[in-house]
Amino acid sequence: MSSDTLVAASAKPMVLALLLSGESYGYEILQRVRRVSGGELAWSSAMLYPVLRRMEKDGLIRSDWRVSEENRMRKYYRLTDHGREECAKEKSRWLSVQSALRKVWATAAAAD
Amino acid sequence: MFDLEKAIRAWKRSLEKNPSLEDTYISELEAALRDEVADRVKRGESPEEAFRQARSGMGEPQAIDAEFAKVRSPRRFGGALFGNYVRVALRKMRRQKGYSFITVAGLAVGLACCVLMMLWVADELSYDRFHANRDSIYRLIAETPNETGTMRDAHPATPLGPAAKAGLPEVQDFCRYRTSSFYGVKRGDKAFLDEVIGVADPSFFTFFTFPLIKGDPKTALDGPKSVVITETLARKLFGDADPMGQLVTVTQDAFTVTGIMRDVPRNSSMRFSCVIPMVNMHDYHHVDFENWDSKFVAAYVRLAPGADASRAGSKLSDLLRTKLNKPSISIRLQGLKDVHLRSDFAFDQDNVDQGSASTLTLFSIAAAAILLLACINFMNLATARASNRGKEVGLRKVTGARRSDIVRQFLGESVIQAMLGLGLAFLLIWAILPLFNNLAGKQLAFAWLFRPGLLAIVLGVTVGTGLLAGSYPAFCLASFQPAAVLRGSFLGGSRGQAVLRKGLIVLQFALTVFFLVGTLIVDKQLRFIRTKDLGVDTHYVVSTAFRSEPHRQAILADPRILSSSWSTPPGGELRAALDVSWNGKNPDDHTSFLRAAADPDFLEVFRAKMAEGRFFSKEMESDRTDAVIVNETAARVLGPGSPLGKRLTITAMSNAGRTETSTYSVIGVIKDFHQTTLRQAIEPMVFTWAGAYGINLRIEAAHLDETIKFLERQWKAYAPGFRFIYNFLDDKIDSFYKQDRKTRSILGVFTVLALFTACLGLVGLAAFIAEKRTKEIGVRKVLGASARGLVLMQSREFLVWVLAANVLAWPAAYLAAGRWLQGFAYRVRPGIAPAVLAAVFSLLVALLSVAYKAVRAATANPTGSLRYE
Repeated sequence: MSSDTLVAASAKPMVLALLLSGESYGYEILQRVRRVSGGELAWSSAMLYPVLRRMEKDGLIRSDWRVSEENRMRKYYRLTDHGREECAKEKSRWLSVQSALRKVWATAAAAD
Repeated sequence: MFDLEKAIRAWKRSLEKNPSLEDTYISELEAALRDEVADRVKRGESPEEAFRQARSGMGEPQAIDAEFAKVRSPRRFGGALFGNYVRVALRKMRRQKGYSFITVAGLAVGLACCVLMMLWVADELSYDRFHANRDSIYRLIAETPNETGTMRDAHPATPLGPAAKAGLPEVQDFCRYRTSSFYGVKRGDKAFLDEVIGVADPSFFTFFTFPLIKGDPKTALDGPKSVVITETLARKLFGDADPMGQLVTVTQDAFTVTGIMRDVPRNSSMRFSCVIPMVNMHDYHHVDFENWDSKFVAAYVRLAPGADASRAGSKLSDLLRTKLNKPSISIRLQGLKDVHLRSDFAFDQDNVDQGSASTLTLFSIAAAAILLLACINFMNLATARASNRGKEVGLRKVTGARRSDIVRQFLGESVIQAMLGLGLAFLLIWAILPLFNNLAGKQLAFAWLFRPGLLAIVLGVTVGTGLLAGSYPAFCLASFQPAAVLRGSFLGGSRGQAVLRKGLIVLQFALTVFFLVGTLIVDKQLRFIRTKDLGVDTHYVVSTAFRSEPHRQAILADPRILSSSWSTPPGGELRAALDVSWNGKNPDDHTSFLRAAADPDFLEVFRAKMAEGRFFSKEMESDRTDAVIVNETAARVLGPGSPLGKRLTITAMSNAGRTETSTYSVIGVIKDFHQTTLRQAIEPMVFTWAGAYGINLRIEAAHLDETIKFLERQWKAYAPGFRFIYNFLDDKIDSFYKQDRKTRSILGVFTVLALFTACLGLVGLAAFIAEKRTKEIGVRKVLGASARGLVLMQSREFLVWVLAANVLAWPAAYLAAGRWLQGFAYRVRPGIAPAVLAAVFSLLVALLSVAYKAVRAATANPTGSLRYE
């Protein structure tokens, strides 16, 4: 899993899905992506923050700066209603792509 | 020892170098970095290792920017980008405080100068424009050529006005005018002795545009004892009561108020608080309105529509020549609009608050020059810093920005900075306006800046400045080859740019040195004037008047009055005798002789010296009527050999207003002294005993103030109801050079501002070059160069430029100052001192400007400077 475009394309649904369970901040999101992908997906922070910024601009998420328990400034992100809807849409889009790809691959494997 | 905070700060700074990274991104990246470092430390890594890992995980600053570039919408380089320009410009300024200060402060100073000058010019040009007939009204100036030039008299022959109207079809109407501040205005127990009283022909209120609130402008001055008063004077005299038809006292006569006028506008060359008819001058000053030798008032004429002013002028000249039988005299028509700025005439004391067109031009050029300096700074620094923004431009180009987008962005940025500069300039103006008004003798108001016309010009100049200042960097940045820039091969600009930068620095300092040398030479001349021996001692001499013999006795009895003389004092404006002739005079000789009056005490009071013969003597009663003293210059005109015993026939106006001719014999030659300003060569003078109407007192130096108080007490006792008139001779002589002192002050201010601006530029450039040479300096240090040698190496180049600027500026400054000095008949030789002083000073200031950065670069730890890339 290394294609840049795929990483870029999947970034938005991934962030949306991760935030479904509640608010989070940049570093934590990075860690969680790494964990759920078993280390396959290693996002850089330089990549994540522009994506977050873009999503915030599109009204999918909202953010505010707060002081963490460790007494450090952190920017927390959470889903907006619009983000929640978008998350559902993304899910159905990716699932349909996935099921389509599966069928195609199954046919291709049968043809081998 | 590894310092995590320091490391994070350094890392942040490396990110901040990229102006396209927003501050919030950087903060967020920092937060993530700190989280990761904390995480790693928890897992047992050392802080240094944790930081290194976290930083490399985050990617190099360039890589970070590239990631950001991906999500940046390509639309950013398309349509309405203004907000973005502002954001980038402000961000850039916040991160480079030093450079931004230099740029914006420099621009602010330049703009403040320029805007102030605009205010001033607008004010000066507004004089007398409120008159409805301003384009067809002319003032008549009499011109008589003499040995030293041309005598230009603001008071032509008194009957000329009416004769012009009667005899010339071109002249529709005339009005004569003068003022007096000696009469005072009184009503009952209220006395206003300082009011300026205008004296004019009855046509005054239809001729000029001074609107009446009450009364008929056509007839208000018809009655010989009528007076028109201003609103302010009406309020002072009558409070809320209606003054129309009431009586007021002017001198000792009762005048009926026949009109109330609006106050005279501030920008009027004529200023007065009431007007009385001209006919009164016959009673008060023995003016003979039929005598063509009489010169007492200014004369204005209104020409018919379409009439040619120069033809009217030559017709008036012909008229005057026939009446006076004097072929050399001529009349010049001066447009009303020129009266304020272009008057340099004798007997022009009614033209108050005169300006000078050449001074105005000089200062406008100076202001423009300072703005130019600021623009040069702007361009210089912006192109110098261009290499640091090269990567930004390169990235933008790679991600699809067009050349025009980049040009627009950089021009936009520079316009925004210019606007900020304007804001700061307004603040500056607000702060220094009182000081400036004081220097320039003006009452400019800050609020005028917001008049639509002026504001539009100011904004136009600001935007223009922004565009001009930003144009070079904009086009030069836009033409970067992105590939070269991103590879890092672009550093410090091309050779051509470096030459341009140096050229601009040289130009800046040349301008500064020009001002400096100019100021020094003007100062030298003014000091020369102050210390020059005038041939008479003007210190501690007071001119005043007596109202009666007991008044005189009371004053002269006081021991603090050392001596007194009835005479026309040095410094007073003198009229030439109408004619002076003697046996054997060449009929073509039209030399004019100034005529002065002096009693035997003149020598003692003014400490003048005799060259030959004797002065008037109290023992010789015949001296009063038969004797004349000439000065050395006059003696030379009278021909070779001793003039003693020569008979002079002098025709002159008497104090009674009549033309009188008498013959005197020369009994002495007084040593030349300066009767008027040092601008004029000493003129031939003749002194007679009779005819003085003022008294001059030499006062004991130690009791100056109390003696003046004593004089005032005596005045109040013996001349109640009259204004106490006195002036120090020193003040009178000083007042000749008021305009010159003003020039010196303002030139001084400009010099300081120019120096400030040029130094700002130098500081910026020195910092830039020190930064560029960090590595070189590091290497030199490692190889054993001393700190002193390094400072010298960095400074030498600047000093060479400044020296070159000096060499360039000197000839221009000496030429300009020489032309100014030409205006003085008695002047200093500028010498090389001003040039040497300017050179030393400019080099010293330049050295101080560059030294700070140079010393810092030279004393830095070379390991740091070698690692800096």
